[in-house]
Amino acid sequence: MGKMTIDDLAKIRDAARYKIALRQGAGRVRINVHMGTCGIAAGAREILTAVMKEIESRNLQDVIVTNSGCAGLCSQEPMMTIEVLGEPAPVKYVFMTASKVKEVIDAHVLKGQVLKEYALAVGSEKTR
Amino acid sequence: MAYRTYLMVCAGTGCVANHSMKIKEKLESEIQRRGLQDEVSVVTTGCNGFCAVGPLMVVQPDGVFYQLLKETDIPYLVEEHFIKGRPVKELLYTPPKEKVPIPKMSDIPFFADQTLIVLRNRGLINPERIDEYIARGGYEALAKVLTSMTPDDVIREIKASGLRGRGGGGFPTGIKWETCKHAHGDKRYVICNADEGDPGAFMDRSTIESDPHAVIEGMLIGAYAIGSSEGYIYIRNEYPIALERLQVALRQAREYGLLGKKVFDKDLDFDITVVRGAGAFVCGESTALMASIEGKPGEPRAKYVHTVERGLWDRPTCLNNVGPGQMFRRSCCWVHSGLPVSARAMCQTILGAAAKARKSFPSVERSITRA
Repeated sequence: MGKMTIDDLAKIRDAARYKIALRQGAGRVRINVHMGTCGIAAGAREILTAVMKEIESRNLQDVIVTNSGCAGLCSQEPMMTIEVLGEPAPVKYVFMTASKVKEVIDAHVLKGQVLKEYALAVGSEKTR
Repeated sequence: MAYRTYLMVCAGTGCVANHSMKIKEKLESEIQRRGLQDEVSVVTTGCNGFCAVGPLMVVQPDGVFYQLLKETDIPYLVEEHFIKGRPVKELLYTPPKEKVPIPKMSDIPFFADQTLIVLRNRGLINPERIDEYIARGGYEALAKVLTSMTPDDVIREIKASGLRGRGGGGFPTGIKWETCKHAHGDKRYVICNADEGDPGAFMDRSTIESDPHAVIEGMLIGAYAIGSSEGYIYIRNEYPIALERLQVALRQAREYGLLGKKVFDKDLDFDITVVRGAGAFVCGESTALMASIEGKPGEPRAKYVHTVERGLWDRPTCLNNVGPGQMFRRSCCWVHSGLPVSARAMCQTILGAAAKARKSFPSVERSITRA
């Protein structure tokens, strides 16, 4: 890169916004994929990849992805929990597949509507 | 694809001495072996201040703080935390005399009540990447100063901020700049004093190791205010990591045209030379420091003529410490936002039997070495 202009500063800053938000642990939405032995055996790995792909393709700058251990409901894995800042409680989604991930992100993350047909329950143990 | 997790490995002097670079290599190879290289990124950062429990690492966005890491811990850690999502309890921090570990960095008392100002980028960016500094708003204060303020505006702003020196005397920085700007001379110099000779003090080292570009940006703003084209950073040779990061930072700033002729195509030509001090305590004093830069024995002279009027090579010279250097850029942003604390922010080093450090110095940025 050659000599910087003032516009370049803003460009670099904008391009790195997501990276910096992650490093500060800050985000509007937190998607937690449960990855205990049961979750992994049921395909949690593909769910995690699907979540990351959705975030990438939609260029979501305020969603952070974490993974956690078994939540104790192994029969309904793969499972993921979505926490949205300002919503009263996190929501657990069960029997996830890559296409369900897409629907859930569309409805819950983007529109703020809980997708009841895939949800286990509203409200559960806190992850933060 | 973007990474989902960042492993912020501390690479301050304390952690590097405790082999944090080996931890970093091991993490990278283990992440590669597990096929996580597109999801998990390892970043080296400046000093986090909690050197007593190094080598340490912070996992983001989870905010989990790992301490006293050993190479042999890494395979288990990678599998448990990054594949199975379970933080490793044995590697978490447990406060003295307590039994329950604290997983999150933000819940650890040492970090919880710090307001980071001078060290706002510590642990958050790789100090050897100029783009990461810019990503945090770096060089924007300079851009603002060059595009919307005259040198006199800058001095007024610094005066209004109440910013004072950090060398002990507490001299108002705005007045120093103003005097220097109006002193007679064909050329003026800006010097950053990073010759931190006091035994056990390493605030400047931490600052430079974490965020070297902030010092450069501060000096650029100072240079514009007083009308200088030549700057020096006088730094102890005993700070090899700080020195290296500073040189990397200067090289990057030159490549981007942030040092050199016509910065941002505006009326500012400025470059910085690094001078290494040989470790004489007295060279932290302004006149001795300037004598040392000139190649003379580092001895102080009587200051009936101030260095702002006749300093380096008998020309007007503005000498500031590392801390305020960082804060010029903050001051320029802050006066507008009405935050009065800018004048008081300070980084402190606490060492020895420091169990009570938190009580004695609430809300300061701090570093603790192994007691």
